[in-house]
Amino acid sequence: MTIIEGMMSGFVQSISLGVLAYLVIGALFGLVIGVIPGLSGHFAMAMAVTFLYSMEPGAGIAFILGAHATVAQGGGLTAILFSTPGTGQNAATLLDGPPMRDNGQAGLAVGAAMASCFLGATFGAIVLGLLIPVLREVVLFFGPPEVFVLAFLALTFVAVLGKEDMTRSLIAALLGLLLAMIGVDNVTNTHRFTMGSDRLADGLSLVPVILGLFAVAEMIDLWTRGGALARHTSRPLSARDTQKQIFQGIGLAFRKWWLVLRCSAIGTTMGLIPGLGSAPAAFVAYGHAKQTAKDKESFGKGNVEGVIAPEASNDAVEGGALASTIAFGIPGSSSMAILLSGLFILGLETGPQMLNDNVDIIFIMIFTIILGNLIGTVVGMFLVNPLSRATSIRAEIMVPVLMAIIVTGAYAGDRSLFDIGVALVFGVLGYLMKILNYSRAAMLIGFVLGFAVEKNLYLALLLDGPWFIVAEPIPRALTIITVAFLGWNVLAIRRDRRRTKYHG
Amino acid sequence: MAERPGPDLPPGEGEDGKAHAANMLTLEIVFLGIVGLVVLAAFLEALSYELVSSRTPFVIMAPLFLLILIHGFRLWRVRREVDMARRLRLALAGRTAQFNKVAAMSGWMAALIAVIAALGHYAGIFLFGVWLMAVLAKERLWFALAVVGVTTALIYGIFEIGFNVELYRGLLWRWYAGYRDF
Repeated sequence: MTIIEGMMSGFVQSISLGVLAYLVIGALFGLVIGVIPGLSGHFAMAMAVTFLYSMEPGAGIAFILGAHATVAQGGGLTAILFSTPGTGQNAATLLDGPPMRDNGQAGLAVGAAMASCFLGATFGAIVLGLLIPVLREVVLFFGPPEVFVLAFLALTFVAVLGKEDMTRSLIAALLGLLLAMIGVDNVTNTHRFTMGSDRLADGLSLVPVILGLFAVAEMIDLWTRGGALARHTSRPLSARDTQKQIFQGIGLAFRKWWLVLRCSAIGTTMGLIPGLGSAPAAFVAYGHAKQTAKDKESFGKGNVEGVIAPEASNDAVEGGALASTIAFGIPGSSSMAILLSGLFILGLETGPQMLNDNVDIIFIMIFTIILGNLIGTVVGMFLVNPLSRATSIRAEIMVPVLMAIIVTGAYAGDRSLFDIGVALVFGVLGYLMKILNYSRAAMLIGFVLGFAVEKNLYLALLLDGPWFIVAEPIPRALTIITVAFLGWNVLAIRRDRRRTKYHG
Repeated sequence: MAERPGPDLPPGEGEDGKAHAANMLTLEIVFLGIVGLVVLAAFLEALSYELVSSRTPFVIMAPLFLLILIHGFRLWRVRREVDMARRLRLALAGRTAQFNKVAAMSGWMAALIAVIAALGHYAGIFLFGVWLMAVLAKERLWFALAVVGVTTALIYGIFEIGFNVELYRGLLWRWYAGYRDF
């Protein structure tokens, strides 16, 4: 399939009723989840993935990516209105959003944030489209040894660059890989780590593991904290003033197109690097906007550029993150790992096959991101006040409702009661990991990559023998980068510790 | 990148910052100990496999062991500062608020599976929801019944009618329906 054919087919499928309906539902779902503090993008995707079993590939992708696309928009909205970012990636918006609200410009900030999200996401999606021809060539150089080493590089990046402690994250990543070894070995038919259980012969199912780590764990966390989800709430805005300001804010984001473009480029580039994610990209973009602004002093006191920059950047990340996920099957974040699981459920394979035979699927992703954000912006424009009320839902009401859906989702995939147990056990494990600062993203990525790691290790040993890591230039270079990156970070940590000790 | 000093969670009810940090450190030592034992058991189990099957697990477990040992050593060095044995005794005696909440939630979830297995999916999620809302969260009973009832009906609509997924009916229903093979 040529790229033009794929683009046309992807566009037609994206706007067909069978796909668009799921996209709208997914986008609205993501927006509501984004508004609710404590529930993030990977929660929205974890919940969405449970519905994929009964969907066509196009509809499934539209649903899951639509949900993911609008989470940041919802999160930005509450960051501005209530000083409570719905998701971590909106933390940078707190710097200038709430001061704008306090200056009576809440609508302006919301409008600018939503339009920036849309523009950033569109930029990232277009870059993804433009990268397809390049990725088609690059991916041909990646055989089993390269993919094996790349998987470890990605895991190292996720563990080191994530917000959690490095050693704990590396432990989590390796535990994830080990969990993927449960089940019958494809080569020798040996039952590994199944403890004699037939249920474990096929390994742990992805959906209950995802639901447990990200959905059940969040529910336990919300339940133990209790109370209203947003702690600082203010009165809803007056509808007419808000509407007027929102439109002005949208216009402002378009007028600041050069800033949007630069910050989107920052986001997309950072999205290409596994493990960085949206939150650091938003802060880097904010710093860039402040550095290049003429009135640096106004940042932090309610400068609209301080809202536009992080919001454009954190949505542009997805385009970059999708590129490495689609090309190499190596997810760089928990959201991408869940998306990859979703693609497996829908019967799709990443890598050369997707880049060559299923280009239409990639373009469905691209158009879904753009349309999803457009839907989010339009809905956000008119429903700011009703949406913002979602923050006042108490955990005591939300947890029972969401737990019922989570448990049903865990069962529905394989119609297995055992999977409910898996989800609940992983929920407790995920909660413990969360409070003890172990990276759940690293564990999930390790788990998702486990099969690929084993398959490629087996093939690499067959092809190049035990020294495959250093036999060819690409694995050699990737190994050097992995070791150097890890070593440099270990040294940096030791240096920091010595400095802290010295300064008392 | 600077390493964060330890786990992060706001102090629970009745815990000051120092006690909270000590509780978290104790919890992590126990957590890491269990993880270490599980990995050790997996390692010993893997020794009985053919090399082709055990190769990848060994490639994963070798650095994993090393990391657990390094991190365990770091935690073990500071254990005296937290009086680990006392912390454990307090937690097991039910005098650590955070631990109690998590233990209770884990217990309710185990009960949820038991109820689903016995009475079926709909009865299980309905009873679990009502229990959480009305009994534990002290919401008004009619409100809890309404919220959970609507949720259960929605789940029925989406899964049974929309997606044609028959949710588990429970052992009791299966018994009365004539099934004898469970």
